[in-house]
Amino acid sequence: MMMLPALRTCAWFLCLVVVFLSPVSGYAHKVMVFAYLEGERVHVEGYFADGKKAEHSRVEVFGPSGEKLLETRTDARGLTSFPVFELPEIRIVLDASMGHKAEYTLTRESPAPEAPLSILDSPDTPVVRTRERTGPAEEELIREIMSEELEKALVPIVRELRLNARDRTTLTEIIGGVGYIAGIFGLIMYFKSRGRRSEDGS
Amino acid sequence: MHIAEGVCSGPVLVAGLSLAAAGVAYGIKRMDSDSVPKVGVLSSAFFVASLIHVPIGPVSTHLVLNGLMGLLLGWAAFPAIMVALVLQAVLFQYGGLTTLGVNTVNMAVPAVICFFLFGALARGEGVNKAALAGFACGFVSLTLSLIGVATALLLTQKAFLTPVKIVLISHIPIMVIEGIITAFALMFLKKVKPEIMEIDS
Repeated sequence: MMMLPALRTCAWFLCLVVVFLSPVSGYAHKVMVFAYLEGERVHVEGYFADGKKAEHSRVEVFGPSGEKLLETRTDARGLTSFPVFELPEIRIVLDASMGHKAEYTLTRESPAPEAPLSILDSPDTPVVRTRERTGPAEEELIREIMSEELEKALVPIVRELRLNARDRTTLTEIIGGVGYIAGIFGLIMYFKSRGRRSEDGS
Repeated sequence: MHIAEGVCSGPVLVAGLSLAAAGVAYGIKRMDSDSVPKVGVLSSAFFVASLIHVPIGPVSTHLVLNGLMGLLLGWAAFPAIMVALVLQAVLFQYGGLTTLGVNTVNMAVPAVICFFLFGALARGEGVNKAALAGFACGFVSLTLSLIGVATALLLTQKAFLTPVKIVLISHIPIMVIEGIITAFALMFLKKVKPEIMEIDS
């Protein structure tokens, strides 16, 4: 008997949902924070899952042992930056008020200048001979130039990757979730009706 | 509206979880097998409603529909909301599993309060009464939910007080929107299926 109103409610809500979801294309609402190193500054970006910037949100930076290094706020574009710390790892916590909080751990995998040339350190590669001929000062210069150039080229790519990798709520997940709910309540109904039937039988 | 992981202190989380467990147990006990589909449908509606996003001031927010759930479900709003919150946490990292109790209480308690406050009005004669009850329900339930979130945060850390005031004021538009949506939903139901509101308190 209750199935009919339930179905009607369902149809009604589906209409409502379609009307509301069409302009926003189904994003969840959750705050996220992303940080990256650019030169000697750490840039922090806070945004909600729908792409809206987390404006004027509190940003706290913690060291590896949990000590607070600094506190700042994002600007109107959801951005902030601060000078880099000589630490292997910093934890950036963004608080967009009312329980919206996200964190990001920024690690420095080995000092940046080492990375681009690390392949040359392998003793098997013939390039080692070239390296022996260059003086230490010259080598340092090459390292610096290369790392600078690489960083310039990589920062936008890393940022792009990060933006693409951010969680998006897909229609599949939404429909899946509704399916789960139907299943869960189907199960509850099954057990409830079985209990009632055995009562009737006895 | 959904409190994220790592925001609330341990005692707040434990208190929320035990309150939510009690509410869910009572809600399931009160639910007869005939009303289970209704609970499921409203649970789905709540699950999807949180993905409808409205940007307001510094925070973006969404419809909650807990007032409507309260009016139509009574105590069964507890299990309906918790099931939806579990799935939101698992699928969208929305809220979180540790804050599940706190979030359930913040949304289900206002639902049940609205059921007792406006249930009689909604069941009364005439579509206008239903509309009025709907608006009041949507508005009040959201206000109470925000106060619930604020309380949970204040119990953890006093410094949250200032943003709480701002958030309450900035949420007035969404409270009105929630009220209007709930009013329309109730008016519709009153016309096509008035008996859906009959639940024993």
